Amino acid sequence: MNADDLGLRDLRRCFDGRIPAVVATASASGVPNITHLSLVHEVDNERLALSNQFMSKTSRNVAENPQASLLLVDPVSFSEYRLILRYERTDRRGPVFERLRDDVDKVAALSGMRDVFRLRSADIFRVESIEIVRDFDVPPARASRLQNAGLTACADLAARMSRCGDLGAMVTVALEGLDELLAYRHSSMMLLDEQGQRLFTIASHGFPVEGVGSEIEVGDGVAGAAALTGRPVRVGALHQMQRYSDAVRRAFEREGAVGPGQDIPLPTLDHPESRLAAPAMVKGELIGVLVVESPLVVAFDDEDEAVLTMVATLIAQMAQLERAEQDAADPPAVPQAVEAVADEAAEVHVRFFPEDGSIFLDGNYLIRGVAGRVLWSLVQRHVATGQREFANKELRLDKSLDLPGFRDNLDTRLVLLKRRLEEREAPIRIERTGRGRFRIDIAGTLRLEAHD
Amino acid sequence: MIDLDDQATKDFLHSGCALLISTVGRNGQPRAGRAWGLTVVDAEAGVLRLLLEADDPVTVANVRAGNAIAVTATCVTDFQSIQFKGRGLTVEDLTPADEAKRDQYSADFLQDVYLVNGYPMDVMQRWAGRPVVPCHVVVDSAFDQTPGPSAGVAIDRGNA
Repeated sequence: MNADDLGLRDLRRCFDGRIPAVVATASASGVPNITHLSLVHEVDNERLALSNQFMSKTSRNVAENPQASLLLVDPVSFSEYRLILRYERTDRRGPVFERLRDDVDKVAALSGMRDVFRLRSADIFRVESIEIVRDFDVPPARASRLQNAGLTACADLAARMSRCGDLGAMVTVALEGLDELLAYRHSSMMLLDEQGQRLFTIASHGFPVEGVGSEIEVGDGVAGAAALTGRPVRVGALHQMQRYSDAVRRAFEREGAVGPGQDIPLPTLDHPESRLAAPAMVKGELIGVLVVESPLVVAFDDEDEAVLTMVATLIAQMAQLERAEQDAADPPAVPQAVEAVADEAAEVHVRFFPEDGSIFLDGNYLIRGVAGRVLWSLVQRHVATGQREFANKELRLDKSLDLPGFRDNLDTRLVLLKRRLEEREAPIRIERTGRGRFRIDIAGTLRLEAHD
Repeated sequence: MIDLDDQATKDFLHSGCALLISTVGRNGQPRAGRAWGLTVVDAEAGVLRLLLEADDPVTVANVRAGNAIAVTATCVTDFQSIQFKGRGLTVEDLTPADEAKRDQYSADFLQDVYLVNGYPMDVMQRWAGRPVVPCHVVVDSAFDQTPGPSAGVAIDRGNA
């Protein structure tokens, strides 16, 4: 490749964050400074934007001496380029700033630093020359997922999903279909909680740990960022970004600006490189987030965003439909005592902690929050009256569940609880018996214990 | 200035950390480059032996002219970084020890990159075995260059 023919558009792969760029500047008195950069954006074919979070020395230098030198590495071929830059301006608003801020927010979200790790400004540089430091061949590009599977696979998946009778079944069919038909091997579905502040995993597919019931805050991580913005978010060099984000977080922890982070047992690969999260929305309202992962770098593109958004939207519509059906369901029948469960010999020890709604079954943690309170309410009723058949509406009247009066998400909490019980192979199971109705099956005799 | 005789500091600088070099031309133009090995030659005087890329004549000329230089060493695995400031002293003759140093450094650096990023080693090997030019530089100040709020803070013997 001839350097004279090169434009920034030819270097696009260098800007995806997989290999950090390097920028050198110098003060007016000629003292140089050189540092790695987390983010470089192409503004147009002649200009670049460098994110400024901590580059105080770099920013001071270019204010005195507008010349800079940038090293970029192509993460596919390992070709390297040296660019001579001239500082033009600093943007603190506008489209370039917004684009950079979105990417900085992604990095911040990976380590829970949204409050402290923010883009200050975007420094815009004009490219004066591009030098090829080393030039290597690029391997042939791989075919896109849709080229391999075709639009018919999407239609097939939508048809399968449309045949599902409830949200739980649809999520299962969606995740399995994404794998079988479109080769998304690792996926999970998270739903928004009643307060709109947390996402909880309702189902996953293809991960070492299922992680049903795991939670994150809206805004944290790639999924949290998608929930916060209502837009798909993808990261193609997760490991690199996570390491950078972790380094920044450690620096902030040393400064005392943030506390130690939490380990969140989300369903995830051992070494994920790419993650894409698509918001599930209906009527402009966020229902949840559909997440896919890959061990390959830059595994997802715009087409994947489109596919995942379509599937997430179908799931959101089903959630909305179920919610409407629950609202219209008949009032609950008067609870009737039923026969005791079959296996009287086995004891099932249920411990409940009202403080956070956490439930332990036979000493093993099961779930907490609303789902935990729901299970506690069910087993209490069962022990008191022998009741096994329930209606969603009667649960909504149970004040101990602390459900909000509007949009309580109870149905999705029941789906979550059902899946979590199955995942843990628990002696208590939940089976849907009809619209807005379900049954609990208990393999043993319950012993309840509440801890104040 | 950081204690260059401190064993942990030496171990870090002699490891496979990424070595970034910036020199400045007479017109004030900074130039970014890489080095393929660093050895602390005289800790007390702050003299470092750097293996510059032989096909980067501008950087070599800047060092030969005694111009200002910045050297940043960054751990590939956790981004811990130190930046030294100083100036060029001499351009030296290449020795077999330099070539051995370059080969060892390249292997360590690429192995670290491979371990954290998993890039195909055969592709990364394209970077190995570059022709190098040894040079001596003298550094008189050091700064924490780890990404974050402390980036740019001077490192002295007391807070290294």
